[in-house]
Amino acid sequence: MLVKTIDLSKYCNHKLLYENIPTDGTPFGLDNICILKQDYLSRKKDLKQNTEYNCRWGEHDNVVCDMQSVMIGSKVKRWHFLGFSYWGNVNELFRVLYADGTESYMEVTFVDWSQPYIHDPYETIDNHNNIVEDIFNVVSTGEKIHPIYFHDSIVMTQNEKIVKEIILPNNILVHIFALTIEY
Amino acid sequence: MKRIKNKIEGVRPFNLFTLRSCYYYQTVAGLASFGIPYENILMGYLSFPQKNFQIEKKSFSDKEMGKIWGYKSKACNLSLRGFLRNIDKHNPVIAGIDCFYVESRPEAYRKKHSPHWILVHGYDLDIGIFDVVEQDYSNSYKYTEKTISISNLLYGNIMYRRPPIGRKKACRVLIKKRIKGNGIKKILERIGRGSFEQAQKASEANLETLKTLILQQNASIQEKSPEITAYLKEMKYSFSIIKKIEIFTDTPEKAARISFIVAAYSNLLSVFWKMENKKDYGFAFRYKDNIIKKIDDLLIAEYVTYNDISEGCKCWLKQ
Repeated sequence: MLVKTIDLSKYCNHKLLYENIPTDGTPFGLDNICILKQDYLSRKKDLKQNTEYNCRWGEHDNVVCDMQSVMIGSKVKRWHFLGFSYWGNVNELFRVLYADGTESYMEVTFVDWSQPYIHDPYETIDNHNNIVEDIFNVVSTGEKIHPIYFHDSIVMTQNEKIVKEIILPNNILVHIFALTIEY
Repeated sequence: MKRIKNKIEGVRPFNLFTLRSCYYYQTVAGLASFGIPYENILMGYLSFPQKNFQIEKKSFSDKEMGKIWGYKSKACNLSLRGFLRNIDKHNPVIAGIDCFYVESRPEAYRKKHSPHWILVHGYDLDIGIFDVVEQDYSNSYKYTEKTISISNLLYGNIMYRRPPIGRKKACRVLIKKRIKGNGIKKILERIGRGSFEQAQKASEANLETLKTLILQQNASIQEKSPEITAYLKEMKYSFSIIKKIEIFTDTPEKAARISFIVAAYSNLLSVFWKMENKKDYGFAFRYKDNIIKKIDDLLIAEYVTYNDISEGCKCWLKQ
């Protein structure tokens, strides 16, 4: 399968990756917890090498899901959402709009940033088309120091249609850092 | 000739979402060996919203469920011979244990007394093990098929009847019976179509109250937060059950709508977990546009879903 990274730069609306901790008293990251660039870059080798993730640096580095419409323009066999959820796991619903005018819904499992993916019967993660893989973890800085896990939420589809765009869910606690598709 | 080993095939550890206790996990896993699908049993575990963020659990007793789905859950105490005899008859046994005495329960072994249920569905006397369904402690709490020492399980089972647990009957033997009539129809008759209509009205009232509490931005959201959190959790799990019941999700649209409802309750639950833990009760107000829209979408999805379920009941009850 061919791989394509989707440019999320125009959808990014949140910052978690910092050069230094802000000292001007303004809130930063997630509840004043962030990742320093030096920690991000010096992390141990990613667990998965065969998928390319296009993470960003700058004023904003990740997408908080707020019903943005993300252009795709390709057939998709496999979706890779690199990110996490905050305050608990969730299976979120994405609207998929096809070039032929039809649409469908796709469920994506997001796992909390504070934990590796472990099947946990105390949470609702039950979509068999979904796989979650832990890609790497980075130590946080700020109000709390703990490992932050970046998960690859993978969705496999059998659809042969060209996906025009996807509509992200309305969930301010889901953060996406990169989107890669296989087609 | 005496058997050395035997195993009941077809048990299916349950891991889709939270059930009420380990006893329910083991019941659905054991009944799978009789060919009774999860979703049939799950229908007996539905919760129904009441006004003021209350929940009514429509509980079916083992006896009622057994009559509906064709099985009996017999409470008894068993010796090793009793365990073996039941497994040979293809009757899985749910065995109560006091975790204090059972090595495979590291969180409690030699630390604290706590009751737990393990599904026993096979044995190998050569190596002294029972085949069981039990939580996989090596990586997670996922229920899985594993083996456990016969002597250790029997010891934990005997101690289940002694203080501090002190229960009279330490085993439930699942015995297959003939199914009489249509199980789904019987369950829906017992629940009553009206329950779904009332549930929709109660949930609508609760979600409207939730919107008001968020927009008022006063102390009442903090006061009510523990109650609301418990309510949201129950609603999430109740719709997780509905999502698994085929007769309620017979089209992709219905299935997507129910998935949305589960996701929406997960999202609202996360918001309340965050507010409670951070003592930041203004969070929901700061993100009111997103959260109110989520609740409005949830209101619509629930209205349609409860109506679909109610109409589905009408069809089933006519049969």
